[in-house]
Amino acid sequence: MKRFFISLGLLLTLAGNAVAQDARQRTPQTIVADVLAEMPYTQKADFDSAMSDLLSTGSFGVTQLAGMLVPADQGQNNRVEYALDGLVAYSSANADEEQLAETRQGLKKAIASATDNANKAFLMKLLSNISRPEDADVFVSALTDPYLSEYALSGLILTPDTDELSLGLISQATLPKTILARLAGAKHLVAAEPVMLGWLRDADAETATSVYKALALAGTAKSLPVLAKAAAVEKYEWLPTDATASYVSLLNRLATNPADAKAVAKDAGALMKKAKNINVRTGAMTALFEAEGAKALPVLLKAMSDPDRQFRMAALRSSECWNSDDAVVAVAALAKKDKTPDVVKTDIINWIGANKYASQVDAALANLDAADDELAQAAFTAASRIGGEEALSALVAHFDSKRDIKAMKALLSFNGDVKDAIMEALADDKSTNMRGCALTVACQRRIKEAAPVALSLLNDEKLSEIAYIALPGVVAPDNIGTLCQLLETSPASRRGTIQQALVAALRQLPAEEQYATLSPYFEKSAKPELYYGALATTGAPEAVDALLSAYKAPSTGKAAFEALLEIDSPRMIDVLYNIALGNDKSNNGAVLKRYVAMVDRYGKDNIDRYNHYRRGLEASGTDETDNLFIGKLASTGTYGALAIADARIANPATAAVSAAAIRSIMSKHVGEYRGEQARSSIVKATDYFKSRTNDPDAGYAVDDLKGILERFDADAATAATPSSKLTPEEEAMGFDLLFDGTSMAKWTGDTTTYIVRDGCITVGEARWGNNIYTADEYGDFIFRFEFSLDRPGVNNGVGIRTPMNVDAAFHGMEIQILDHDDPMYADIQPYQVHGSVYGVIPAERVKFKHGEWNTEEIRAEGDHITVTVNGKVILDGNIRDACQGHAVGDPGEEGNHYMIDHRNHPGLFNKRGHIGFLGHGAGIRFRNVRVLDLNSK
Amino acid sequence: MKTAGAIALFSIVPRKVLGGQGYIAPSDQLTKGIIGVGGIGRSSFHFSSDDSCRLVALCDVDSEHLNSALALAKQRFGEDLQGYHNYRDLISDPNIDIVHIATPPHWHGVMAVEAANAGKDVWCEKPMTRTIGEGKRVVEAIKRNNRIFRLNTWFRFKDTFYGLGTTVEPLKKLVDSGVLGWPLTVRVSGATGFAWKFFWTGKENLVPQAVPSQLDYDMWLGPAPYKPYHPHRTHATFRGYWDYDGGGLGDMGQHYLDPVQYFLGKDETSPIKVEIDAPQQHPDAIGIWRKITYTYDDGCRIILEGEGYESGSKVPYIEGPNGKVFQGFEVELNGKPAPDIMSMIAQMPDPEPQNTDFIKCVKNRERFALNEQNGHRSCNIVNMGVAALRLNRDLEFDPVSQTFINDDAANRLIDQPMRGDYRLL
Repeated sequence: MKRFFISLGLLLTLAGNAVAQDARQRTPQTIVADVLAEMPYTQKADFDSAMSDLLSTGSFGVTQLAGMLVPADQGQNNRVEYALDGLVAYSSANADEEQLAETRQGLKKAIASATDNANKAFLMKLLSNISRPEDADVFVSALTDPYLSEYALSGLILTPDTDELSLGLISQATLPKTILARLAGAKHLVAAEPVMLGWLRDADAETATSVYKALALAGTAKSLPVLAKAAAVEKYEWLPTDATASYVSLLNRLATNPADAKAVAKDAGALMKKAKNINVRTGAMTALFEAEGAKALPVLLKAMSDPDRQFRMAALRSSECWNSDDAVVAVAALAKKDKTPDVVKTDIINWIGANKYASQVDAALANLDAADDELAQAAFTAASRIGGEEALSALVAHFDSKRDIKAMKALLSFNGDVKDAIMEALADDKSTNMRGCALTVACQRRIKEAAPVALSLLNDEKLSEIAYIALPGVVAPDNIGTLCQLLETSPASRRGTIQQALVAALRQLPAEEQYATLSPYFEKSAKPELYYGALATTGAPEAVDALLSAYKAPSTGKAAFEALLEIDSPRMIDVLYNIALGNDKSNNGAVLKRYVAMVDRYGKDNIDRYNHYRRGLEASGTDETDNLFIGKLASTGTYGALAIADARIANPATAAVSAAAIRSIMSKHVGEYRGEQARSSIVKATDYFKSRTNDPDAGYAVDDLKGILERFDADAATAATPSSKLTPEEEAMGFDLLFDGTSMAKWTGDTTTYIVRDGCITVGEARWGNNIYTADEYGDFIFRFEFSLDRPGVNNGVGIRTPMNVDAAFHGMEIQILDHDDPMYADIQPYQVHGSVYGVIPAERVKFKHGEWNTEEIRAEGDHITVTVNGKVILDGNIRDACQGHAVGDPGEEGNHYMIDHRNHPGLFNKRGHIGFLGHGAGIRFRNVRVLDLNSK
Repeated sequence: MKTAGAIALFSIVPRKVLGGQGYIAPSDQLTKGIIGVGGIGRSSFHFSSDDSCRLVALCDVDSEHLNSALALAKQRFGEDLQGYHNYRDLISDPNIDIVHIATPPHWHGVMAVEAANAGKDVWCEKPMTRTIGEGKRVVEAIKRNNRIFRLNTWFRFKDTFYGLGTTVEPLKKLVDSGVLGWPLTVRVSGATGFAWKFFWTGKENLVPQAVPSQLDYDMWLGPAPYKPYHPHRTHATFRGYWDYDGGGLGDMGQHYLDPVQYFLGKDETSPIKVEIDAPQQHPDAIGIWRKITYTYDDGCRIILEGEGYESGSKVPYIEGPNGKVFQGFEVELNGKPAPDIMSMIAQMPDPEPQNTDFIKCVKNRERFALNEQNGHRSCNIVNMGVAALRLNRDLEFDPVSQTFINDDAANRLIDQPMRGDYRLL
C-alpha cells in the first residue's frame, strides 16, 4: 500500500519525522497521518490493516484525531469522522480488553477537551457504541447539559452493567424525573418501581406520562392499581398521559408470568367491561387469555356473540396462544349451529381457514351452501386452504351447484393434488355441469389425461363450447396428429382454438423435435397458412425461411407476417431488422416493437443491445418507435445513449423520453460520465422538466436532476488533479504525453468505453473489440504508461504496430495486460501471461496487487521487443528469432508450427501501426501514458 | 350451469354491494388521515379519497407542505380536510379509522405503535422501521391492540416484479414445486433487472444553516438525535443519513426483498448471516456499497449487487441445484432451456390465497397479505445490512431472538435509544 503524508497544515509538524513503512517502526504521529490521508478506505482488508495500526497507537491516536475536529462552519471534519468511527467499529470486534480500554480512554479525554457541542455529541455517540461501566460517569455528568443530555442518556442506556448506578440516580432524584423515568424504563429497572410510584403522588402531567410508560416497561403487579386508576380517570382514552396504553401494555407483559396471572386476570376482566374503546377492551382480553390460558374459554365463547366484529376476531386470534384443541372444537361447533348468526360463522370459518385447523374442516364444509354469500365464500376458501380428501370431494360435488365458480376457484389453489378427483368428475357422464367444471379446472391445471374426454366432447350438444376452450390446456404431443386433422376439417370459427391447442402440444416437445414433428402435416396440407402459427412456435430455421417466403407472396403475406412476429429466437433480430429496412414500411411499427422485444431478450450485454437499438433508431421513421428506441437506449446506460438522448431532446416529439433517458442514465453514471457534454445534457433535461409546469411529477424530476448536477459538480471539483506529466528527462528526450489526465485528443476509437475519470483513462462496460488507438502511427518507439488492475481477472492489452479494428494479436502485436494470477487463468499458456508478446514470446510472471499503480515500458526497436514492469525487465526478445522468421506457416500448412502458439501472426512484422488499448472488460485504469517515437529522432 | 360463460367468469368481478345502489352508508365508509405529505404521502396512489375510504385529515411539520397538500385535496376532492401540525392530534382524531404513515422511516415505529395504542389501523410506508428493535415493538403493539397493519409494498401479491417480467405468483409456484432444487440463490442486481438507486447518498461536512420558518425541525427530527439543520438532511434527501433511513438499501431494499422472502417461504424467520463488500461508511452520511450477501440457515442466499459490481449481463435471478430463472422469466432446468415453463407451472396449484384488499381486511378484521409480522421480517433483512455496513464487517444473526451473535456493538444498533420521551411500549 502506498502511504501518503497528510497535506493538512495542522499535521505537517507531526508527519515530518518518519518514513518507515511498517506500523511497528512508524511513530504514532505518522500512523495517524497515514490513516487520515487514506480515509475513507474502499477495501475491507486495507481498512482492517489501517485500523489495526491505528489501534496500536493506544489512546494517542484517538485524542490526536479528535483534536483535529473543528466547528462545522470552520473546516471539514469528514476524514477525521471516518477515522474515529472506523476505529470504534473496528475496536468493537477486534480489540482486546486492553486495547479497547485505550480507545475508550482516548474518547473520554477527547470528550473532556472538546469545546464544540456537535463534535462533543459525536464523540459521545462513539463512546456509547463501545462503552463499559467505567465510562458511565462521562454520560452521567452530561445528563443536565442542554445540548448533550439526550446523547448522555442514550449513552447511559446503552452502557451495560450500570443498573446499580442508575438506581442510585433514580433514588437521589436530583435529575429531572422525566429523564430518570426514561432511564428506568429503558433499562427495565424493576427495583426502581417503588421510587417511581412515590413520584406519582405529586407529579405533573409530563412526569406522570413518563412514569406510566416506565412502569409499562419495568413495573410489576404492584403498579397495576396505580395505572388502573390513572387509566380510569382518563376514561380509557389514549391521551393525554398514555396511562391507558401503559396499563394495557403492562397487563400483557405480566400476563406471561405465572406468578402474576391472577392479578392480571382480575384487572383485565374488569377492564374489558369498563373500557369502551375497542382496542383497550381487546387488549385487556388478550392479556386475560394469556394469563388464564384455556380456562378463559367461556369468555371466548361469549365474545363470539359480541356485536362488534373487531371484538370477535380479536378473541379468536388471542385464543391462539392456548394451542388448545378443545377451544378450537368448541368454537367450530358454533359455526355448525343454526342459530349462530352468519357474520359470526364467517369470522369463525375465516379463522379456521387462516390457521388451517384440519380437524375442523367439517365446520367449513357445513357452510358451503350457506345462504349468505360471504359466509359461503369463507367456507370455500377455508376448505381450499385446509385441503384433504373430505374437502376435495365436497368442493368437486359443488360443481353441480350454483356455487360452481367458487368451487372451481377453490380447487385451483387447493392444498393438495386435485387430478384424480377431477378425472373422476370428468367420467361422470350424467351431469353436464360436473363435466363442464371438471374440464375447466383440467384446462387451468393442464391435466393431460383429460385430453381424450375433451376431444370426445367437441361435438357434444351442451359441452362442445367448453371442450374447445379447454383443448389448449389439456392436449399433449401425442394429440398433434389429431389436432392437425381437426384443423384441416373444422369450420373457420374453431380454427383459432385448435391452433392454440396445436401450439400448446408442440411446446411440450424438446425444441429440436418440434419442427420435424410438425413439418409432415404442414408440407402435405393444401392450406399451409393454417400452420403458420405452429411453425412460428418451433422457431426453427426452416420455419423462418418458409414464413419469409410466404411473407413475400401476396396471398399469404399477411398471415405469414403475423406468424413471423411470433417467432421467439435470436435469429429474428436480424430478420426483423431486414424486414424493417425493406421497401414496405407500412408495418414497421409492429416489426420494430418485436425487434426490440427480441433484442431485450437476446442481446448479450448493454453494448450489444446499445448497438441493436441504435441501428433500430436509425431505421425507425416514426415518433412512436423513435421514443421506444430512445427509452431502450437509456436502459443500456451507455455514454452513446446519453449522446443520442441529448441530440433528440430538442425535438418536441422525442423530448419527454429523451429527458427521462438523460435523467436515468446520469442518475446511475454521474460519477462516470464527466465531460462538458454530460453536464449540458443534465441542464437540458432539467430545463425540459421545468417547462412541464402542469405535470405534478415533473417537480420530482427537477429535484432529482438538481441533485445529479450537484453531484456532478462536486465530483468535478474533487476530482484528483491529473498526475500525468513527463519527467524532465523524458521532456528532454522528446517524449510525447499521449494522455495528460484530462484530454483524449490524441486517441481515437471507442472513446465512449474508455473515458476520463479522476485523471485516469477508465474502462467502462467494454467487451472484446472495444479498443482505443493513438491517432498517430509508430514504428520504433518507447511506450510508457501506468496501470492499475482494480478488479480480479482484468484482461486488456497493448496493441502495437497494429491497424485499427482488427485483432491486434495477429494483425499486429499485442503486449498482454492480464491479472494472470486470478484462478480463472490457472490454465493459461506461458505466452499468455502479462507482458508477453501474445502468442509469440512469453514474459516472466509479475505479481500484481489490485488497486495499486504499476509502471510499464514497452520498447520496440526493429525486431527487438523489451517489456519492463515496475522497473523489472520481464521480456527481452526478438520476434523474428522467436518464429524462425515465419510469421505464417508453410504453404498448405494449417496453422504455423514455427510459432509457439501454432498460429499465424500475419501482422507480426508490420513496420508500423497504431498503439492501442484492447478492451476485454471493466476494472482497469491507465494514466501517465507517453511515447517516444524513435524513428523521428 | 352457464356453460359458455364458465371460463370467462373466472375473472372475478369485485364485490361492490355496500349500502345498496350507489349509496354508501356512512358507517360502511372508512376514513383515513395521512401523516407526512411531502413526497410519497402526496403521490396519487396514496393521496386518494373514495367511496370505500375517505381522506379526512393531513399532517405535516412543514407548513408549506401541509398547506399545499390541503389545497390539492380541496382541488381534487372538493373538500376542506382537517390539517394537523402534530401527528398526535391526527392519531387521536376520533373521525379517523386508518392512520397512513408516510413520514421518513425514523418516525415509523413511534407512530405505528402510538396509532395502535390509540385504536387505529395502520398503513405504513416502506421501509417498515429504522431498527430491528422498533419492528419488534410494532409487532407487539399491533397484536396487543388487535389492529390491522399494512406495510406498503405490494409485489408479493400484484404487479410485474421488475426484472422478472411477470408477477411473483408463477415464480412462487415454481419455487414451491421444488423443481429448481434447494437451497436457492437469488441475485437482486441491475443485471437481473433490479436497479439500486445509489443516488440516495448523504453529504459530509454539512455546514449548519438556519431552519426555514415553515419547518418545525425539532418535530421533524422527533426521536432522531439532534444535529444542526441542513436542508439536505430533510425533505427528499433524508434517505442519505443513517439517523433517518438506510440510503439506497433503505429506499428499495424492502421493496425488492419482501417478495423474495415470500417466495423463499421465509416469512417467519430471518437470515443467519450478512456479508458485505462496501467502502467504509461515514458515521452520518450514507455511502454506496458493492455487494451484500444474506444466508439463511438452510443455505438459501440473497445476493444484492450494487454499484459497479453487477454481474455480467446473463446471470440467473434465481439459481438452484436443478434449475435457474433468468430475467424475463427465462427458465433453465438441468442445464436446458425450458420454454414451456409457464405450462408446467400451470399444472401446479396456485399459491394460498392472500388478503390483498386492505379496506376489506379492516372491515373483516383479517390480516393483510403484507402485515406487521412478515413486514417486520423483510425489514430485518434491510436492517441487518445496515448494521453490517455501519460496522464494516460481516455479522451473524439469531432469527429467533432477533439479535446478532457475539457482537455487542451490532446489538447496540438493535434498540437505539430515542431522543425525547418517545417510547415504544
